[in-house]
Amino acid sequence: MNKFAYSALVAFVSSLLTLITIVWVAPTVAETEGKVREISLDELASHNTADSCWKEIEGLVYDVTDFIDRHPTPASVMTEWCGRPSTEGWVDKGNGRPHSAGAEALLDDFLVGYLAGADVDLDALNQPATGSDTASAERSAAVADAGTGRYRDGSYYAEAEPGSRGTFGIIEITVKGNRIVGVYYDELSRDEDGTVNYRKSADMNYAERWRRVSGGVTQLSTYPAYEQMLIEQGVPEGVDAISGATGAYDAFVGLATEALSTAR
Amino acid sequence: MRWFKSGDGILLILGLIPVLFFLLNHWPAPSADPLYWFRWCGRLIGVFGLTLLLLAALMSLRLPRFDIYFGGLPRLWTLHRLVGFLGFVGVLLHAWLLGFATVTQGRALSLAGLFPEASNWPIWAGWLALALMVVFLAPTFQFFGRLNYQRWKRLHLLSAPALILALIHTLPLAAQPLVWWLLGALSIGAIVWRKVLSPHLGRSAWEVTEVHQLKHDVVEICLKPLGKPMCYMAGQFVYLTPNVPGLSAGNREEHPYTIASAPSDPLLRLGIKDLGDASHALQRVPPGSRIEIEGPYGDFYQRHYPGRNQLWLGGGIGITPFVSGARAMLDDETDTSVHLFYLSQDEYRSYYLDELQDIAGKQPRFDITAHHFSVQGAVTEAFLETHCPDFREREVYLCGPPGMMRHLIPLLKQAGLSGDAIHSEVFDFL
Repeated sequence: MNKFAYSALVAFVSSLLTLITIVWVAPTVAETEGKVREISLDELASHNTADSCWKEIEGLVYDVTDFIDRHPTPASVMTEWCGRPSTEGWVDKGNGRPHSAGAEALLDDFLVGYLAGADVDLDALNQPATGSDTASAERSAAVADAGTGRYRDGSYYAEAEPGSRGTFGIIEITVKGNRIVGVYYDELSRDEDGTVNYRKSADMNYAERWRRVSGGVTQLSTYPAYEQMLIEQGVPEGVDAISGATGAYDAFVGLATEALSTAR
Repeated sequence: MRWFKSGDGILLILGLIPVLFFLLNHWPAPSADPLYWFRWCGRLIGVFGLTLLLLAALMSLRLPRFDIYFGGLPRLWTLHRLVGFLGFVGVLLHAWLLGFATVTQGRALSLAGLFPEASNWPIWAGWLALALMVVFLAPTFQFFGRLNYQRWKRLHLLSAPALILALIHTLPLAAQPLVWWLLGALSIGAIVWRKVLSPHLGRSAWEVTEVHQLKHDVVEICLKPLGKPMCYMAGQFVYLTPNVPGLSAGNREEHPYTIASAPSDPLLRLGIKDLGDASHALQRVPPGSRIEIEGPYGDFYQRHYPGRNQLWLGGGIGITPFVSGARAMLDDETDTSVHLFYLSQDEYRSYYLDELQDIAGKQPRFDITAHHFSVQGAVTEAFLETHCPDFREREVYLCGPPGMMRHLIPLLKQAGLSGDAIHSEVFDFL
């Protein structure tokens, strides 16, 4: 019995030492070898295919090859920037909007170096991960988990409970090739026979009243904008709220999540 | 069910209570996340480990006569050792599972769960408890050769602070701390009784009246009670603590010795062979000396099989419980027959032989056969058969040096006796 306990103690101590070694030594090796290497424009340009896709964003060079499949858009949207300075594509996703904070946190994992001549803070790059980094890593992992979860092909529909004015939101989402390719969102009401007699997207009087309150933005452009964002981001979590239309944002994301809950 | 004693049942119930409470409070949710299962199993094994350690402490209580419910003190001690070691392994597994839980996430390997900041004192209390356990268990891993009995006993006292630290580790984290408070209080109470109170309250005072020199290195010490006489059964043993300032060694140290007298004897007689410093000093203990006795302990004859005839095999100083048994047979009114084989090196090494033969002359249900190794060689099945033809149908009781036991137990099993019918009590390291 004491031999058994002794063996267990030896095994325990050795595995603990292994864990400590991995945690303390391994990240240091990764940092010194890969993190802050200087990369020339030529070297960057040589990684210009989907098989090896490097991009320069704000002075830093990232190897995003492994992410092309996980990116919510068709691959061509990403590969068009391979081997090139890509800050432009980063700050403007094509709809005038920058990538989200979650995407930014993900990017850190792909860092390979900095572009020769770029004005970057090398000391900051050499810092080991801190608490806030861990938090952003957790968040990015959550986004990544959501982003890589594929939907089954098909169309998904959800309808909200009627509100005080009798209108209710509806959403239809079409998934093809495991990606969201079409979204329709509106708020409707029905008469006593069940016939739809009202569509908020066509209610110009409502839009005028809204415009006066919001200072410009109305359902006329925000509904299509939310629909578009959902297609591009691929998951409801990726949709950003538009200032002046946060009520519609909550309704849209809630309904989209409900509709997609059956699509996993 | 001969191997299961009623006391085991009580320990089993006590041990299952914390596990049940844990399962009631943390019934596992159906989850496919390995992290969840690592943590859940880690906690469960932690509960299991601490429970076993608390039970091991409880078993160190050593109340005279109560050890019968556990099949005697030597068996209780073996159980204590087994439960203690299992608890230790449980605690190791507990820390391992919780420490390696983050590995299952495949990213952000972290030591934060195992080594949090200093303000998270329950975790550090757990580590300190484990470190103390390793310190007091280190001698049993025999890093430094064979154990010194007295030093080992002192070092083993570290188990008390280790248990308190383990409770400090557990109480703030437990959903139902009450169960730990109760079990913890019982266990710490047991240690306090054993180490602090029993040396004063648990011992009785005796006076040495005579010391019979049986051979040059074997004495029989006769003790007269200064207070109430002790009730005991043949074959039991006591812890003896001399209170003799002039003793060459072992004064105020307790050691176990077997009783050689019959329960009806007004004097308590102990057969003591010179086997170490303390027993060497007792060979010359002067009459009139004060001795403290704690006991009786043991369940050598395990009187649970009345009506079965018995085969006794004794050798060396291991003849002592049989001397007690044979003396008791003089005024015994059962109809159990006993055949004693007295195995010794030669005639000189046969202590008490004359008296035993004398008893055999007076008591027809008691027979004795002496066997001298130097003349007749090792005992054989044929030898037993010749002198005791029905030895296979008897309950067998063995006591003697390790070499004799190693020879006899396989021989008896080969002769067709079941292990259940062979009884021996070894208090080599009690």
